[in-house]
Amino acid sequence: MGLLFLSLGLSGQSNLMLYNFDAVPQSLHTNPAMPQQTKVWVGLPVVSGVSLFYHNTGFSAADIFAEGTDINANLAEVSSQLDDNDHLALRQSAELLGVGFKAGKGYVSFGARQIFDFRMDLHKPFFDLLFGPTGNLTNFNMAGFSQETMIRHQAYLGYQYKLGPKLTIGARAKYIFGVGHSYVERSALSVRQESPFQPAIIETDILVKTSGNTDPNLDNITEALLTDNNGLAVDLGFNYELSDNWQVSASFLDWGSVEWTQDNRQYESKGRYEFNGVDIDFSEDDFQDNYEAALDSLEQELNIKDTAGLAYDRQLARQIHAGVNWNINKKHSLGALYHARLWEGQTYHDLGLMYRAKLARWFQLTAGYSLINGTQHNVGLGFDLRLGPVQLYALTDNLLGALQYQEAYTTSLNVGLNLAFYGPKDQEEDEAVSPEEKAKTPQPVPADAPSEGEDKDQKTGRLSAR
Amino acid sequence: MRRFIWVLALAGLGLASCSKEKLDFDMAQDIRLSPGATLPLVNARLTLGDLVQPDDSLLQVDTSNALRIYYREDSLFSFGLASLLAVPDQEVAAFQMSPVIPSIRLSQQLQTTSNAELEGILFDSGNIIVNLSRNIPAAQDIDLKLTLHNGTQNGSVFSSTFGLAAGQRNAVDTASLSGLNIDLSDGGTSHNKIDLEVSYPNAGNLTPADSLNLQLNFEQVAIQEVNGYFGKRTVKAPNGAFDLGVNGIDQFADGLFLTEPNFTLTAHNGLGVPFDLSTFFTGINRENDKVKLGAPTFSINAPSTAGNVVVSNFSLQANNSNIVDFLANIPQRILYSGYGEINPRGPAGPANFISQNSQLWLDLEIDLPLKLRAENIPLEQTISDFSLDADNPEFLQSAELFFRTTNSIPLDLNVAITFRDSVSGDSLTGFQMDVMRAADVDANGRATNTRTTDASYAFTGTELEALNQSNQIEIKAVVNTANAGAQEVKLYAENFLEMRIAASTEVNINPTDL
Repeated sequence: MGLLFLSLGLSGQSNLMLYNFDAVPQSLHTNPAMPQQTKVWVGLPVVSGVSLFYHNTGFSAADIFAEGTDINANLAEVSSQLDDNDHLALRQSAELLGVGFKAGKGYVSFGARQIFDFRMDLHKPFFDLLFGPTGNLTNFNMAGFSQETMIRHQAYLGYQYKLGPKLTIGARAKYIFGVGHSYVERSALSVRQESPFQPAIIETDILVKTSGNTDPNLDNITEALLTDNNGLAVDLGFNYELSDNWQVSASFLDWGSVEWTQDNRQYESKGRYEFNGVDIDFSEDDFQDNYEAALDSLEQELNIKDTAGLAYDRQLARQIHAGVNWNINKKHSLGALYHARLWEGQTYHDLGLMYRAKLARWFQLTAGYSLINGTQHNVGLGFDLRLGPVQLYALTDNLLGALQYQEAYTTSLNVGLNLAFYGPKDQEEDEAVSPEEKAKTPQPVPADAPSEGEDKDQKTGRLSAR
Repeated sequence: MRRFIWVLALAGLGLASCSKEKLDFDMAQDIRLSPGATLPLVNARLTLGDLVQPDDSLLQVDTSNALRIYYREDSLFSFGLASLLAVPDQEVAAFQMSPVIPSIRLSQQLQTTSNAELEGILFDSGNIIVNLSRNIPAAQDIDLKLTLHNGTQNGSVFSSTFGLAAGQRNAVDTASLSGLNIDLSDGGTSHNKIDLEVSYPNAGNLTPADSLNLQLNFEQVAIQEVNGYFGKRTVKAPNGAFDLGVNGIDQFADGLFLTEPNFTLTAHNGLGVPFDLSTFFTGINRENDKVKLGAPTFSINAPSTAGNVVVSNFSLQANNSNIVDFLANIPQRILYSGYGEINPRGPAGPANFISQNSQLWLDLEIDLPLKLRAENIPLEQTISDFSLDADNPEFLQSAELFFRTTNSIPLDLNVAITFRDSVSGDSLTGFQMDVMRAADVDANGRATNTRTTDASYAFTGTELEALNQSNQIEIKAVVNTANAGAQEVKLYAENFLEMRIAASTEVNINPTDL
C-alpha cells in the first residue's frame, strides 16, 4: 500500500495528444515516421522532455482521501467497485539528451532517455481482504495478480525516410541499460477451506523475479547508469498521405526485451499445504515445538525459496498507435487515434479525437477528447510556444485531471524546452498566417532554406507551421 | 490571437478553480486493515496409552490394556541396632588401690542409652580407658592387672595389665573392647552386670606409699550383638517424601474417586524386637490441599531366631484408613513419617536380640487401577499477559470459536473460559460449553463407542469490546463421569480424545504497526 500511494506522484505513458502534434520533436517517441516541422532540434538536457503518466482505473485520490470522510469506508467502497481489469499504471520519463536534424530525404534523431514504469493490478480479492466488509482469507485466491516495475536508461538512434511522395517510414533502435526490475511471473496463491473443521488448503505457485542493486554506488555514476542489464528494442512507424488532406499513420513501439543479469534474486513458492491447526499431543509437555513445527512444515511444503536468480529476458510493454488526420485547411486539422498498450497478455485500448490549430507562427495549439482504457471525459490540451530558437511545449491528455488531480483517474503531462530551428517560410505558410500575426511574431525564425525538392517532400500534406 | 490566448488562459483558470475536492492525506494514519479468516487453530489428540512412558512411569498398562498407577518404594523406613540401642561413654569404676589390699573385685552396671536390661553383649569396637594418678610422683614402677571375669576375648577371660612408671604422677592406658563378649546376666540371674577385678601383680615389692587412684571408662563403644530386654519405648523413623504425579492426572485437584485402590505396607523385620508401627502419610495435591491417610498402627512380630526375617503385610482399606479421601485429593506429593514402639507388650516373651547387621524395613506399594468416578474434577489454567492488541482496542472485530471433540474416554468435559482484567480481577466476559460428552461404557466400565460433540461460540459486540480490554484468560474445566459423576468407569490405554478448534475472526490492523 505504501508503494501504491508513494507512486501516485509518478506518471507515464499515453501521449495521445503528442502523437499528432508534430510541432514538437518529442512526437518522434510516439512514431519514428512522424514528419517533423523542425530542421534541427536540440533537446536541453533533462528539461527537453519530461513525461508523466498516471492511470488508475480503480479510484481517484478523492475517492479515498476526500476531506471529512471516513477513509476506511472509502476504501471499502473502492474495493466493492473494483473489477478484474482494474489496474494502476505509472510512467515517468526524462529526456537526458535529444538531437534531431534533417538529412536529405531522411531525418535523423538520437539521444537518451530515462524511464520508470510501474504497473500493478488492483487485485479485487486482495482489496476485499484488506478493506472489504466481507474480505476473508479463507477461500482467497491471488491468481491473476500481476505487477511489474522497471527502471531503465536507453540510448536511441532514429531515422525516418520519405520513400515517395506519400509514404514516410521510420525506425528507431534503442539500446537499453536496465537499472532495476521486478515482476510477478506467477502469482497463484489460494487458501481454501470447506468448513471450520476441514483443513485449510494453501496452494502456491508464485515466482517473483527482481534484478538490480537496490543500493547502487552513486559514487560511480558510469557504473550506476551503464549497467550490465542490457537489451535492444525497436520502434517502427509509417505515415501515408492518402490525399492532400488525409493521412494515415501507425507505429509499433518498444518491440524488444532486456536481459536482466545483474544482482538477480528470485522469490519462489510452489506447493500445497493442508493446515489442520497446530498439532498437539497432550501426552507431550512442550507445545511450543508443535507450533514451530507447523511453521517449518508450511515453509517446507510450500517450497518457499529466496535464491540468487538466473538471468532472464523480459519483453518491454509494447505499444501500437494507428491514426488518421484530416486537414481542414492550412490552419486547422482534425485527427483520430487508436492506441493500444500490451502487457501480460492483455491489451488496453485508448481512443482519441484531436483538433490542431496553427494560431500563429510562434504558437500552435492542440485539443482533444479521449477514452483511455475505458475512462471517459479526458479533455486534452497542448501548445507549442516558440520564443526564437527556444521551443516550449506542454501537453496533457486530461487537462481536468492535471488541474484537478484529486478526482482524476488518468492524466498525463508532457513538458519540455527544445532549441528548434526551422527552414525559411514558404508560400503555404505565408498564406496560412495573416500579415498582422507575422508582425507580432516575437522573433523571426532563422532562414535556412533547403532545396526546393527536399522542402516540398518534407512538408507535403501534414499541416506545417514553419 | 492575443484575445484568444487570454480566453484560453481564463478558461484554464476557470477549470482549475472548479469545485475541487480537498484531500486530507493525514487520513492515511486512520487506515485499518480488516482481513477475516476462518482457520483451524488446534488439532489436539490424546490417547491415554501415550501417557505411559516407557521408562520410569507411574502410569502402567496391565495385560487387559487397563491403566493403573503403580508406585513402589522399598525401605521407606528402616530401623537398625543404632536406632534402638547404644552404649554410651561411661565410667565403669573409680577407686583407690593400695598394696595393703592387693586385689579389688567389683560388680558394676553397664549403662545403655535406653536403660535396656541386657543379658549379653559382643563389642564390635571400643576401648577401656584406665586413668592412674597420684599426688606425688611414684617412687618406683607400679603395675596393675584388670580382669573381667564374665567377659571373654579370643576365647580367654579378658585381662589387661597397665601401670605408672617411677617418677610419674599420672598415666593413661587403653585396652581394646573389640571382640569382647560379656555375659551380663551373671548366669541368668541378673542383667547389665560387669564382674571386674583389679590387682597388683607384684604387690610384694610395693609399700603402702605406692597407692594410687584408678578410674575405668568405656569409650567409643560399638555393639556387634546384644540381647536382653530393650525396654518398652518409641523409636522415631526419619521423615521423607515422594512424588506421585502422573502426567495428565496431575492437573486434577480433587474429585477423583478411585474405587479399587491398593495401598500396601510390607514390613521386613530382622530385629529380634516386636514393633507396633505407626505411619503418617499426608497427600498434597496441586492446590496444596493436604489430606492425611489415617493409617492404623500395625503390629510387627519379631523373628524367633537371629538371622531370620519376619515379613508382615498391611493393606490400607476404606474401612481401616482415610484412603478414599486421601486419593480423591489426587496427591501429587506424599509426605511420610512414623515411629515404632518396641516391646509394646512389655518384657513378656522371648528376649530381644539384635545384631549389627539386622534391620527392620518397611516397603510401600501403591497400586491404583484407574477404575473411578469423577465428580466435578476441576481443571484450571490461567493465561497471563494475554493481549489481542494493546495499542488497538478495536483489534478484534468479530470472532467465533468452533470446537469438535471425538472421544472414547468415558468422561464429560465442560469448559468455562473467563476473560479478566488482571488488575481488578473483574470478569469482563466469558462463556462455557460442553466440549466433550462421555462415551458409553459396559458393565466393567470400559468404553464401548466414540462420541462426537460440536460446539461453537460467537462473541457479541459487547463481548468483543470486553475481550479487547482483557489481559488474562482463566480456563476452568470440570470433568465428570456420566450421570453427574455417579457412573463408575475404567480407563484403558486405547481411550482417546481428539479435539479440533477453529476460529472465524475479523481483525482490525493498523498498518503503521506492521
